[in-house]
Amino acid sequence: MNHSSGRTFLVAAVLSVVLGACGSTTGGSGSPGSHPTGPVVIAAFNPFSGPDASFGPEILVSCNAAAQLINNVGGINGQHLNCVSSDTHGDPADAVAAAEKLIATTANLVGLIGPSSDEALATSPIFEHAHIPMFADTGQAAYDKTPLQYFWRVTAADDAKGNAMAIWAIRQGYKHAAAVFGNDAGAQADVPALKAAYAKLGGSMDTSLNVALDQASYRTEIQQMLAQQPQVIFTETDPQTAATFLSEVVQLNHTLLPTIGTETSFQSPYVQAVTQSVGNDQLSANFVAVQPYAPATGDAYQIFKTAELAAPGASASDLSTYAADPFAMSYYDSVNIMALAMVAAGTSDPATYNKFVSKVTASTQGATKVYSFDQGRKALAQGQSIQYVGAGGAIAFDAFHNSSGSFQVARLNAAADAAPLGVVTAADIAKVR
Amino acid sequence: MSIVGSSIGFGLITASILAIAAVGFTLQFGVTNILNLAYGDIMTAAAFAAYFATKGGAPLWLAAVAGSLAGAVLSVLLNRFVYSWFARRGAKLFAMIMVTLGASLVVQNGMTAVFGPDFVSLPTSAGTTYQVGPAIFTGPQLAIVALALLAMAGVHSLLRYTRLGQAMRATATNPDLARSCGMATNRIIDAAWLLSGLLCGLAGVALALNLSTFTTGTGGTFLIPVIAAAVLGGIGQPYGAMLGALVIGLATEVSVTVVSPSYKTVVAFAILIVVLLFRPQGILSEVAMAKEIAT
Repeated sequence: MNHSSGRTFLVAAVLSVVLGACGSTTGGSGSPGSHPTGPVVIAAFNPFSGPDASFGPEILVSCNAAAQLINNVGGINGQHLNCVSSDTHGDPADAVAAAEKLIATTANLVGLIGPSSDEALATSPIFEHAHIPMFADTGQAAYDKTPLQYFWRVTAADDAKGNAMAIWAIRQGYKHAAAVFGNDAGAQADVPALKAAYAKLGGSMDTSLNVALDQASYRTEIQQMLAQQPQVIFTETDPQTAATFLSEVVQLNHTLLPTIGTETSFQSPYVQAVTQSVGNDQLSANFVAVQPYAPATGDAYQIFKTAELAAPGASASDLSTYAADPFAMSYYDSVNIMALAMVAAGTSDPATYNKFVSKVTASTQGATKVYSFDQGRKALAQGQSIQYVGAGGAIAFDAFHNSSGSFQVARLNAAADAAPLGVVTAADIAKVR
Repeated sequence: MSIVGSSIGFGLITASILAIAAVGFTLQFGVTNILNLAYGDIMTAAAFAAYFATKGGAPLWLAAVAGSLAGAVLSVLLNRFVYSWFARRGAKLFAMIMVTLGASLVVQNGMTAVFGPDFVSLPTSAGTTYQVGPAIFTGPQLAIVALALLAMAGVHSLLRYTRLGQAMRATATNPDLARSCGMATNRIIDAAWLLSGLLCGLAGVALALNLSTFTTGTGGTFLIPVIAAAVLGGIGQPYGAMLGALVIGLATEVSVTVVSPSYKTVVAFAILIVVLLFRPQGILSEVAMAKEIAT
């Protein structure tokens, strides 16, 4: 190493130590009750590139929708709220680096929307250690009974989703099935609960394929699957894999078999890819998908919808899709919950306000129901206890910071506007767990 | 048995696309000694050229020609304005690999910026299917096999029976000797990029036809098996690449009948490693030995 590069290395090392120290002081571990100065920051910590690149933008838009409403009424304890993006690339190794950079370099980082299933196992301990509350959109069953104190989940766990898929198939009379899931961690998280519930309800999973993603062909796998004469296919893969696989099912079977997908099937790249590969007629006649159920009605929903449609950073058509998506509602609700917890705690210090998260959502006696940040802020200012009821409905965290709900089943079509076919309730799911 | 038989049939489709791509890849490497990691992205660019040709009303065969020409033009331009600039300044093998990696990122992200991230598809009449032995094929899939056979026969004829082909082989084996014998090696290198680009473009269109939908990252994903086929056959050896494509294409499909489909690419690469353990220079060897790639 020459002197010049040695000096550069030394400066870089010193800078990284200083930045790291700044990050940990201003972001994650300020003293309880302290008021960091400047705007507070919530990060959309999710994939913005890679196969799940559609996740991040929806989170950022929904965060901005909530932030605009919060900032319009003076912010959180007088502090402006900013939403920033942190791209995990959907890859655990990249996500660890992204998490460390986010913590080290973001002043007043007070919370996250994320991580997703792609990077949760690798990064949730990092945020836990940094005392940053994370409202995860991972569905992994590993978090059903998590010891992490800063982990919160307002979307249903994957195993509940797997249960819902099985229940719906049995309701339709499908007793013989094939499971076709990508070999990535996110898709695989659904499989054990799906198989267990389907068997418990009397179904027979005759074929189970963990497919390698983005291959040129899946014909041999499909031939094997068709030989078992399944009545229904359960599936979750990335869009390119789904398009190739399903088009080859149509080629070899002359029609698409009844197919039950997950909420990722409603993402616009997925719909676009499979619509082009199998045609809208085949798709809308045979493909349904389950997704967390949030009735698009009520005061909270109307406030969310107006804000979401006016949020910056997305096209009108994307905003329209987000406004009807239960996941977007959960992201928006997560920001409001964090903001109200900060108001209730009287500080944006994460270690302090984290203890107030369940308090502002709990249905306790005498609590005032509020449907927006502004309503909650005013009620708290009057000394009332509150129950935030979100755009996606009431939120009830269990001892492990999970709040799950029901699932709706809807047909997939090119316009992504199909009416729900039915609902699998939390009570239905509880019976097969 | 019928599933194994049909998997062999299906493997031939994958092998056909791989063969077109791998022969183009290895032919260019053999002559220029540049491991072009932007190859997959040029395949995608060619598929988009075909897509826009069909949008403009061109029939599919004409769109395939347009795609091939787009691949050829893009390859030649990339070499003329990027790679040869670095080569003239003495960039060696590893440095050139990094340059081609950079070119790959620029081409892919450039396409995303221009065409957007959406999935598109070529209009095919995939509804009609044909039973060939135990396997069922669509018309476009049979066309892909026919195109691959034609392309391989064309490459064989060019290399064996034309002066250009002989000059390419001579340049691939020993460029200094070829130059000292009076061959215009720069023109031969240009011809190699052109031919490689034509095959690359054709492979891109074939891949797009087979996948039914594609996006700007599709070709890049397909590059790894293309390189595997080229290395397996002996890098720089067009006939080796044909053989390598056949092995990789069949192995990925037939392995599914025995192991989980999750491991289909792993099986192909396991075969690659085993073969290279016993023949580090690849199945067909002479150019790989000369280029010191596989040793």
